Formats: sequence, C-alpha cells, structure tokens
Amino acid sequence: MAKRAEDELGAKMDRCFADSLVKLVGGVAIGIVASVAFLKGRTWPVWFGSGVGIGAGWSNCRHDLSAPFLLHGRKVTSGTDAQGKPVINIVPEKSS
Amino acid sequence: MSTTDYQTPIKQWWGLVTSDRHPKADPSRLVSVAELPIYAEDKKSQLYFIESEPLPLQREFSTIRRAWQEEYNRVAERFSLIDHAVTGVQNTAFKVQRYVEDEWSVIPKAGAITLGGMAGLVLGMRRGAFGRIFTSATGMATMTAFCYPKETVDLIRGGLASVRSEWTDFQKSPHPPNEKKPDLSPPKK
Repeated sequence: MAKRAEDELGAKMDRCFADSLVKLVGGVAIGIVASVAFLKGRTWPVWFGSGVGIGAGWSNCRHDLSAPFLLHGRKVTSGTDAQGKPVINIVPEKSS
Repeated sequence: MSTTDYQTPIKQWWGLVTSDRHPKADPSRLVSVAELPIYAEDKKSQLYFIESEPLPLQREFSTIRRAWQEEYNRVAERFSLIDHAVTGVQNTAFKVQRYVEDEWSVIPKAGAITLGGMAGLVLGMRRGAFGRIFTSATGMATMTAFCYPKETVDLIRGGLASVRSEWTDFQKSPHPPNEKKPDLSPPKK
C-alpha cells in the first residue's frame, strides 16, 4: 500500500530532527571537551560546536527534502549479508 | 682494424632488433576478447537494496509528531481562527521562499542595501539621533538606487512629471471669483 504524502514528509522530518539532535549533541560534546582540555574553560567552543552541529543537521535536512525519492540504505550483492560479508551456509556433518 | 670487425656486432644488433620475436599465431588456439581470462571472473552479480535502520530517537520523534498533529487538529477544529492564521503564515512563507528562489539576486541586493545603511550609521555616529537616521537612510537609498537602477530612474521620472504637472496646474489655476461676502454686520439704525 502506498504511503500518504503527509506520512512520507513526516518520516523525513522525523529523520531530520533525530539527525540534527544527534549532530547538535555531538558538536556540544566536542565543544565542551575542547573547552575544558585546551581552552581554559572558555564558552565559545561550545557555541561553535553547537552551531556546527545545527548547520550539519540543517544541510542534511535540506538535501533530504530536495530529493523526493531518496532512500537511505545500501546496495548489497547477492550472496552477501548487509555488512557485505559472504553468506555461508553451515551444514552440519552427517554422522555416519 | 678491418671493416668486418665492427660490422659484425652491428649486424647482430640489427638482426636482434628487427627480428620477429613474437611466435607465429596458431589459428587453432585463437580466442576472442570476451574469452580472455581477465573477463572470465566478471560474473553478473545481482544487487539488492537494504534500507537502513531508523536513526536513534527517530521513532520517538515520530511519536511526538503524531501526538502533536492530533492535538493540533483537535484545536484547529475548535478554534478555526488559529488554523487560518497558521495557514496564512505558511502560505506567506512559501511565497517568500519561492520569490527568493526565483529571484536569486534578492539576497545579495538586500545585503548591499543593509551594508549601505550600516555605513551611513557609522558615518553619522558623531551626529545626533536625527543625523544618524538621515545618514543611514541616505546610505540605504544610495545602495538601493545602485541595486535597482531602472526602478530608481522610473521613480525620479515619475516624481519630476508629477511636480511638473502640479506646477502647470498651479500656473493655470484661475483666480478665485470675487464673490460678495454676505454682510453679517448688525443692521444700522
């Protein structure tokens, strides 16, 4: 069954928010570590990191929304699993 | 040293260089390009697509979004004024976005005009409040005239034409008729 346009857009927005949040938290974390470790506890690295995180999330979101048929995933050759490793069927040895 | 002494090695070298060292082709062993071993390993592998798992917190965001949507629909049904206002704001935002996308020069022009205003403000810092407003307005107007030259020329021409017509009307205006004012003085005895 085909999805409604609202649901497709909603799923994209969910992905946008989740992705942006992860990047924001990552940027803030790197900023805090950099501030404490190298810059005597100054606050600007935290703001800088959060800005970079928000910017990265925003950019990803723009790309997602501008490509209507974009699917997130990967191509895998037949005979391999999702990680690209060859699928091996282990057959138990028949006891004679 | 005779001539044959140095001719012999040259002949040998020339014979080696020009000799056909490739073996003669055996027609029974000829193979086509597609049968060469380098192509033999190119199996046509079938690709299939695996969709990636949702990101961390994506499902939670989805739950929040659905809940918010339901609540919004409930409120919008109850108070249609809010829905109208939100829809109006959305439509205006889409229109502005489309205009900015179509007219790509809007943003640089706006930046240039802002820069002109800021330059005027800096130049008028030592003046009073009125002076600052005047210099920044002059800077903005100058940059606007540079950014929109055709519109500026139209505006100036329109203004001049308007002033001219007003002046002509003023010159041609007839003298007001000398009407007798009603005598409102009290009756003399």
